[in-house]
Amino acid sequence: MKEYHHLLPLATGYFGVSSALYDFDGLVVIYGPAGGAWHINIEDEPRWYRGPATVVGAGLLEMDVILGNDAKFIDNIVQTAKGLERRFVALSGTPISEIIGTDLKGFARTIEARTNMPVFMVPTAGSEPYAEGASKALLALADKFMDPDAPKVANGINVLGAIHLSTGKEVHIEPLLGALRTGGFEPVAVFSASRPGQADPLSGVRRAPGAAVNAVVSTSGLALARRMFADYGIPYAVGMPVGRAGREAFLALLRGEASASDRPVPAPDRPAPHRHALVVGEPVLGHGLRHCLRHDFGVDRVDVVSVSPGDALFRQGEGCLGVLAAREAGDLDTDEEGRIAELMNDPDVDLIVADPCYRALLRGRAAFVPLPHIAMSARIHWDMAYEYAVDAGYDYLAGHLLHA
Amino acid sequence: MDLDHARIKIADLRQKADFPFAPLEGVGPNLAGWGVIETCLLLPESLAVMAGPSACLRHSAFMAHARGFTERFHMLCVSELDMTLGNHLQKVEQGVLDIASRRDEKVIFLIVGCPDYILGTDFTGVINRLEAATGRRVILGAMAPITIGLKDSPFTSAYTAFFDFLRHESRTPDADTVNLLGTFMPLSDSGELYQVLRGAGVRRILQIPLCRDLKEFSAMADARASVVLHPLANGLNGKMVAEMDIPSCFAPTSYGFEAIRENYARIARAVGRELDVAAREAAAREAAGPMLDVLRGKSVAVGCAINGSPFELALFLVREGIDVQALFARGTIKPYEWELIERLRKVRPEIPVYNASHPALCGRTGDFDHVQVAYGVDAGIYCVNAANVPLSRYQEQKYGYEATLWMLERTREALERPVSNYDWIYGHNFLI
Repeated sequence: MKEYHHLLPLATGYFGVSSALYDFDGLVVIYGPAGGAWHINIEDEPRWYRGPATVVGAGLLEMDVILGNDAKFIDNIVQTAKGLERRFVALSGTPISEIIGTDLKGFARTIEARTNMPVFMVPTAGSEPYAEGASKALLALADKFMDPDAPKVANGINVLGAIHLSTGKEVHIEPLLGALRTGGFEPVAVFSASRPGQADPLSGVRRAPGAAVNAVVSTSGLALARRMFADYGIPYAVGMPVGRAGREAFLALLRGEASASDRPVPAPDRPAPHRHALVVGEPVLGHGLRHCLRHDFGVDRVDVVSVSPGDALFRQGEGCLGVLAAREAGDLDTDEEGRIAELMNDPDVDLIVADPCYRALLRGRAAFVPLPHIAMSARIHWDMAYEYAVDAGYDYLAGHLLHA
Repeated sequence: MDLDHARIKIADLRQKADFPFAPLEGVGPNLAGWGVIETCLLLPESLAVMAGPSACLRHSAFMAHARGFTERFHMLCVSELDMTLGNHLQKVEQGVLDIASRRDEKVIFLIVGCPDYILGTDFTGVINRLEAATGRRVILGAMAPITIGLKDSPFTSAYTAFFDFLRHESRTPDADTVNLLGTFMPLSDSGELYQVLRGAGVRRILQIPLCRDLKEFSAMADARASVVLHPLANGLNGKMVAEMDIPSCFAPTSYGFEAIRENYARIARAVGRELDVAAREAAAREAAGPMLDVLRGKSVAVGCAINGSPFELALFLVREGIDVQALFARGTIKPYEWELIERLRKVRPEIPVYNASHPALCGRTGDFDHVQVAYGVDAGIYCVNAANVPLSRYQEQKYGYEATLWMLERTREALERPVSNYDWIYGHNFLI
């Protein structure tokens, strides 16, 4: 049984749904008691501040659960969705709807019939990893809005999995988008962020099937990438390019030139600042950080602790151009506080890169580079200055590793 | 969705059913509680263990982290499937045993959430076995928002549970001891209420957040009377009255001179002493004058995130000639507030009261652009051009005329050196 004391439990399924859908002008209904949506907005969705109603709670009460006042809640959702004129309605389950077996799929069909709006449900409960909720939400979004006849964009690229719980504020992925443009790609859609200047925030989603390649930057984008290969034949590469070497390696993967591990990497021109690093966080970014620490900074051993399941990364299916990651002996998938504390306090580890919340587990003298993971610390470190993607990520890490 | 869906004139707000119905919950920092974990941990020598799905734990953990309670707070993750099948009881029991083996607190609050509440999970055996195995008191509590408005709030229930540590105390009434119930941030012992009570011969004043251990807390059983400063304490106080025969009065944090005078009169009756506050009121009125002058001519909004009642503060401001343009409230209007609403209706019936959690209100800041001073972080969200004065229950606490002057000082400070609403919420953690 997992126990937490110093850490927060990571965001779970319906947080992921919110993260994936927040930017697309819909109404996300968290079907649970009062308070669920409140906490998502106040703590996990700083984008909420002074914005329109996007993630709202059903506000279930005891008697509603006992008596099954489904009609009342369907009425409430219809009334709100129509009144707010949102572009779609998404229903997301909570522990309560899971336990009492609420038929949210039936809700969705009824609400869609009564509003003539796109309505879908995302099956979540309350204990599954946030990336799973986000992944399901992205698939549902694709089902509803992608245009199979979207015009083809030569060198067009979609970025999949850029949800704020994994990649933070949109500004943090701008360096990546810039690098893609410089590398000859034209971003078509970013899942999940509307792009500046688009009157319809869903226009990128609609046009996404016209892209030539997909870049998967977190595990929540993997299922969508596989679906888009199956449906539209769009190949994909997986990775979050951190630093200079990562940028080059990832661009090469996207071009189908070589797998990351095949490419020769020049040795860094200075001695490594550390011998043994531990990276704790989202799997794709974690492996991207390893690539950077090793190839840009010469750190010999880098272990990656994936706090959400990372297995899917290594199940390369058809259409996968390559993955900027490789499983190594010291890697581990766990979000257990006690286990992570053990690893962080291994006397051999002299560098830790992790969300600042993990610092509370550190008893030894290892250097600590704070890199917020919003699924852990949410609003607490939302406004912190940090970078990870491509050269900006290199500069941020260099500031800690070389100039501290 | 029209804003009219989210508001009602105070003239028409006569009963709970009149309050604008929110079909779905929009959000804002407008909840009135303290957080169940924070409330439990007010009890000295206590530890809180919360068991439930990760999502529910994450919600509570944020508040505990924001208030620095992490040291005495542990969480056990339980899956929905285990709960439905009842497989979690053994795991939770073992989890609590493991935690208890590493800790020396005398009291363990085991907090469960909505799923166990709805499933009707029976923890009696778990609690009995844990008490026998650890020798500690183990109290079951619920962080169950699913009960909001139907039963005592989770916060009230947790606070009421403290009675378990008083009920067995033999009571030897001490005429010189008074309990102050319902403080989270404690009142200072150099503050007005302490001065007034001490001036009347009260020697010992007890507040739960200042009790160093359970022994000190148990001295509350001997008090001459209890003064309830926040409705949250009504449950605990009710038991102390009914089962221990400790007199009490309800005298909530207020800002208006009249309300404060009435509060002191109630306190005087409860403690059986005359309280000399006339000079304090005169001095406060004189000191408040110039600060109220600054507010006259300005548009003001009052929200429900303040410490105290937004209706009481609005009534005070209106009576002082200040232009209150909007009130923000939730549907959980407290019983004592209906009389304040009645009084307010007589002097300014046209003031709109907005349901602070109505989805139609979210993002509608333009409708409040004219407001210049907003009390409460919930009002501050909507009133983007206003100087925001949080009057948060997490700031230093004042009582009596001192609270009036503190409120006005904070107003002056906000007008001269404004702090953004965003910073109050996210920088200072004034989230509820």
